[in-house]
Amino acid sequence: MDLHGITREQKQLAAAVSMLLFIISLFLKWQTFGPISGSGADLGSWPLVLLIALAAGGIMAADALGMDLPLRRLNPTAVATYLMSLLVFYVLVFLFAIDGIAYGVWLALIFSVVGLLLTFSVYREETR
Amino acid sequence: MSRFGALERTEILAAVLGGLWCGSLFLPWFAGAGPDGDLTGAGVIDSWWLPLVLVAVASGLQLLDALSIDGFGALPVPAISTFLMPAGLLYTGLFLLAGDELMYGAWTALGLSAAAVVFSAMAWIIDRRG
Repeated sequence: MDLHGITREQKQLAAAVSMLLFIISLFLKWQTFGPISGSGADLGSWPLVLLIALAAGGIMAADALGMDLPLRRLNPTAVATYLMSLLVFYVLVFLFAIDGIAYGVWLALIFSVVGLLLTFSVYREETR
Repeated sequence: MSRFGALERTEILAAVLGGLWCGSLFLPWFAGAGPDGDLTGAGVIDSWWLPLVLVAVASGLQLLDALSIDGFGALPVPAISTFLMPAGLLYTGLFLLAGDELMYGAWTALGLSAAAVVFSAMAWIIDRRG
């Protein structure tokens, strides 16, 4: 498989899809403790993370589709990379803290890291 | 005349604010929520050390960059610190949104982390302008 053949737009759209999958993973099982289980959306702060993921994915999708973003002098890819790094940080905070980790946390980690790597790859191409 | 330029002064300020945020983790954040009374920012979750390490690294780098004569050479300290510093703001914001009966420690942490992020970004902007 030749990863170098992937275009910039394909990477951006894949990053946007990763954010969508990250949002879905928020509603999957994050913790099981005996008969009790909880999702990422049971954490009180999940709307903040949802907004960050929507913004990061939306920026990537809009940029891939050639839409003008009202970010003035800010580089849209840099902003999206930054936001996705916050998502990775968020998942890591709970990964290190939760007892009885379930598959939802691992999926959230995978999708946030994949999104970050794809976006960072686009950013590196732009700044090279 | 001060031996520090605008970049160094801003970096020192951001580093001090970041250091104070690390200290504010040990102030009471939530009233009556802990086993022995009030709950501190470090008692909220077991992974409290993760944002502490990130903010401490960001603050330490900025302080060393400001105080050393040649800085860190090729290492873009203001950019790295601007990238790491929001970890404290996000950590504080997450628990402010989720918690009830907030105490002064939580608001202090919010103010300090927000100010540290602003001054780190200012240092980065000054550094980019040269």
